[in-house]
Amino acid sequence: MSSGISGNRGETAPIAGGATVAARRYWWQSPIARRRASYGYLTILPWIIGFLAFTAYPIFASLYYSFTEFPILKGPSWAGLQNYERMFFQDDLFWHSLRVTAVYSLVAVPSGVIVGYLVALILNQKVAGLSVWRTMYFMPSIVPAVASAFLWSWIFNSEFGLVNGFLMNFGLRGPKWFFSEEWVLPAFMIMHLWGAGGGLVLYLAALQGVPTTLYEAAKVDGANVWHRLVHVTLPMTSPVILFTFLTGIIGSFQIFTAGYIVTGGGPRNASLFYVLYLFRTGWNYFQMGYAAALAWVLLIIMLALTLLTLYASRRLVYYEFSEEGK
Amino acid sequence: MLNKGLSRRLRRRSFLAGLGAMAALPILAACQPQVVEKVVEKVVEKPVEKVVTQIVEKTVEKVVTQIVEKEKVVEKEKVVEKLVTVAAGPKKMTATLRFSSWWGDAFNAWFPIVEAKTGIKIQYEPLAWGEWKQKLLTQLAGGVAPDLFQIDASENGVFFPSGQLLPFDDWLKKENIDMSKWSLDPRKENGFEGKIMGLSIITMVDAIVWINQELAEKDGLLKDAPTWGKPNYDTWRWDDWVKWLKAGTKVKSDGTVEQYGLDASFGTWGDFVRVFVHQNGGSIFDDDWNYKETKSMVDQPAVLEAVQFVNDLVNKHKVAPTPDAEKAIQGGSYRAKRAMSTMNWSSAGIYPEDKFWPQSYIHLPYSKNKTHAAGGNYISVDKASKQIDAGFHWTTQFCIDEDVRKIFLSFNVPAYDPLAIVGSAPEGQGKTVALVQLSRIKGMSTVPKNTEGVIEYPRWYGSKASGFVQDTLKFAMESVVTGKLSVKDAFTEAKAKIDAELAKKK
Repeated sequence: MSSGISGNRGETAPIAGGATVAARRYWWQSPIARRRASYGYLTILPWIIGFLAFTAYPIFASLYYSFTEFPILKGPSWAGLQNYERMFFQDDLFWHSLRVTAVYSLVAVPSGVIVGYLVALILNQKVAGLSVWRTMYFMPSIVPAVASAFLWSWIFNSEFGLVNGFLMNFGLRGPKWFFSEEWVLPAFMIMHLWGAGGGLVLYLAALQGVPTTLYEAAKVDGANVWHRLVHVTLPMTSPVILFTFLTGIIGSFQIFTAGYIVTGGGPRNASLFYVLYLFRTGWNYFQMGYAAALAWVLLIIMLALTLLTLYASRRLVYYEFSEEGK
Repeated sequence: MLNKGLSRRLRRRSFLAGLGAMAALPILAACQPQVVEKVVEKVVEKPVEKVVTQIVEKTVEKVVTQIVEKEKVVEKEKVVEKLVTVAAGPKKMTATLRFSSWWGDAFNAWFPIVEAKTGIKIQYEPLAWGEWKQKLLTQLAGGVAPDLFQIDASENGVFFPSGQLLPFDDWLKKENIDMSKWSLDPRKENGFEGKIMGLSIITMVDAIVWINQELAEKDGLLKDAPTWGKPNYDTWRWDDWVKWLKAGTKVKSDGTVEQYGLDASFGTWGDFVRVFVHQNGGSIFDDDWNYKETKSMVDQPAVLEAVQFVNDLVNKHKVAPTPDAEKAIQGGSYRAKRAMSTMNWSSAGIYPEDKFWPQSYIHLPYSKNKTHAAGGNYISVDKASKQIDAGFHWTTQFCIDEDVRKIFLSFNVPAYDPLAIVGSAPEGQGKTVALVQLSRIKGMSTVPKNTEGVIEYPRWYGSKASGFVQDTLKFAMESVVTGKLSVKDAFTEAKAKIDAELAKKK
């Protein structure tokens, strides 16, 4: 060959300038590697089939359905951009549900991250009964969503609930919480905070991974507790904070169970979260095409928020072993 | 058998019997092909021969007797037809059908009975009430639905126009089912474009008032109440009822309610609100029955008055708990003995006396019309089923079989010939509630006078936007109960939304 690069295994090839490099070969050029790869693919074949049938196909099918009118028992018929047009220009409930979900996320996610992080900071100290406290804070996050929804509907009951009962001791008459248009979202936000311990494990792992040498060095430099928190702890644990924040956003935009069980979207649609509206459109109104369009818009919103967060995090998140950190 | 008879000494009676039998043979011969044809057509697999033989033999014996007694050929033909049906019993078939329902284990008691009579086995697929609709629709859309499935009439508008259900008409006609025995004409209750799309299992329950005898008696409120069995039964109007409920509501000095007159959930729209609308002469659409609605009527005075009445029970008269107060009590105020009475369905299983307390019953007081709801639960046959005849056969047998219906009574009142079953039931709460339930149905009531002026209303919400309509009415009702909007504003707004949605579906 004029270039001097041969395809034979193990051979070296002269190149311009007289230097030699090992010939670059791809795995499929080797019979042994091909055989090994085929075994690999064979063993993951069940997963591939499952993925194609139960994940990839539904994803692309729903994309197609989003451009159709699809009353469930009559099959889809092409409708072009009609569903999207309706969504953005005619459907007040779309905007309403988006607003409800955004308000909820805007408060619930940051507060959940802050509370979870603060609890982790406290539980990272040497306090008595540490394992008990850690278990107690983490436990709510593993309570099934349905059980949690029922529990909180009782706690926030306006007549006999724990919260209003407590307020009554101070002569205060509590709000109607889940039965009040004004208080239903705050009630869901508080309910969300109860599960803030879910990120505890991650935060604790991150906190314990901060080298003590950094704290010692900061102390030597005269840093107080606040300085150490802001300049050492937060930067060193920021990747985990970013992770919980991102998953929190995605989770909060998908809130469904609590709303479905406790309020069904009421009163007067005050807790009509986006996914609840999507479900209602699909399974109460049987407009599968429109429901699919709602789902795709949700995906795009979450994708945009994720990218935005990642972009913003470039200046806020510190990666100890990143290219920049080297 | 006839030869044996002739070999004996010929008596006048025997001679006539023989003559009758001979006369009957041509009739039988004329009738026989019809019977055989019917059986062969349906019993595709094994027992054709057996069934035919059985029918012919038994028919001959009985016809002979009839002829001797009546001596009229024209009448004999009718007798033969009837006897064939009775003597043959349900046909036997070999089939296994898939069947889904949300009634849980209740069906397990009935399957063996129907199987013993039809030979048809059931592969049961229980569903949860909260998911039956979603699951069944998904199955139908995917072509994997059960052969038979239970449907709640509130969803008629979704299932009937879909073309996925098979009409029963031809089958019922072929089987000579006495259609006058249904508590409500199936064409009305489960009909779509003149065809019967399913067979009702139950007579639709009515909303009635259950009274805790102990609490009502304590305040002397039981003696004048128009409870079941009294001459003044079912005579109360709304005003009478409100007075009584007020007398049964007890408020402490600090303003907290110790006992409500009525336990009911009026926080949102539902069956228990709709009944008042129809009592008051209102309707949801311009055509509530035929799935051809073009506009909503929820802004009409009859509807507004009814909604106002319901709202007043909670917010003005304060005789019923607010939705959150009601939700706070496990099982509701009535179960907790914090309400003297409750509005609930006429189904004895809801508050069984052996687990609760002695109770009395009044039918729901009315304003203009006494009402009875149409559309309970029914069974339909999937169009895609490969065992259609077996599906029709099993469903029909299940609905009309006496043994099934007798057991059924402990659960609910059957839809087919209910009074015969209820009447023969042992005395007790089950029978009483069942009689209350039938008391407004013409031809089924033991107090026929009580059926005068009763109007029926459907439980479904049209075919074009059933779910949307219900959600819109819920929103309107919540606006009223929470005091955000007046009844007029809330329901005028609801009408506009519903009409706009219906206009899209034209």
